Amino acid sequence: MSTKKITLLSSDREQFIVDEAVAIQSQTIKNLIEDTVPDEDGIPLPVVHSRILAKVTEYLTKHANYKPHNDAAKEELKNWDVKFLGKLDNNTLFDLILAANYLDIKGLLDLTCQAVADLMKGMSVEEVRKLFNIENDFTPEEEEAVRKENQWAFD
Amino acid sequence: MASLIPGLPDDVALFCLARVPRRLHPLLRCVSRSWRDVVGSSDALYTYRKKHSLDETWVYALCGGDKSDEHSCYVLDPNSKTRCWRLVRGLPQQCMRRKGMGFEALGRRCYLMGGCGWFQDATDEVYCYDAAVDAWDAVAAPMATPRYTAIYRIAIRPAMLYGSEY
Repeated sequence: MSTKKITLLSSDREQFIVDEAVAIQSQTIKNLIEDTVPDEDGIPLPVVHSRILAKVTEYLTKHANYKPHNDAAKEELKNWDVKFLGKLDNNTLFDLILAANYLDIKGLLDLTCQAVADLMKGMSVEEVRKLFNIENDFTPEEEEAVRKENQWAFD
Repeated sequence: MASLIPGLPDDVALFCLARVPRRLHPLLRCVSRSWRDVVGSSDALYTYRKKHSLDETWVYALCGGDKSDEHSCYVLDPNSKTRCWRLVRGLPQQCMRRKGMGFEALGRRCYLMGGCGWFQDATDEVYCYDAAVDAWDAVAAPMATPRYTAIYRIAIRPAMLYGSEY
């Protein structure tokens, strides 16, 4: 059986050739295939860099070819997801979230947002601020009040 | 207002915050003003968690006091490892000694309604506990008629249990 190939074009004009079944897991790409005349080089994705599109296609390829039918297979896919995320630094994780959001890939968006949430587990308020580079914009009085209101969580 | 997480649009940052377990929400509220507002009073986080089945039910118990004759409200997070009941602070003073109050949970809020005292008639007052901000408040609209329930006729006083989702 021959499968239709789709060429995706990253923001830095790098081509990624994937099966159509892989590509259309992205709702955005699916709409682009249906609604637009393709660029001769491929479908342009002007906000996704090749570094990130490589990760996205890695995820989509795994998930398109691997439809779990039992618990063991589901578990294996979950382990693959954990390993996939384990290799990412925080900047790549953020870029991947933005790409998943733009490309409308629900599974990848859920996975990466959960990864960001998990980063905060076991952290102090100061560590969370440092992790995300968030400025503490409370006045000293406001900070005292908000900490007092939420004191029970730190006990 | 500063962005929730620098480098992410606020709607996407909300997807991330919504995936943090409820027991850590007080910590999130202490991070910055925008986090305090989103994880506290705004409906956006609550709505998102509910829509994506991320909401967690905590159990609230209103206990009638035997010795001090005052009510206390306790909360249990069924998913926590310690499984300890925690005292919910700030139960309105007016309700502490009232008899026959109604206690119900609706979404993220618990309501205390009516009741009467030994020397007071039934009241139409309603108080509301908002689980998202961990605070009690008087509800502006009282009940149409003052009411109390006859639960205290039961010989063994049960604690009334309700779950609130957030």
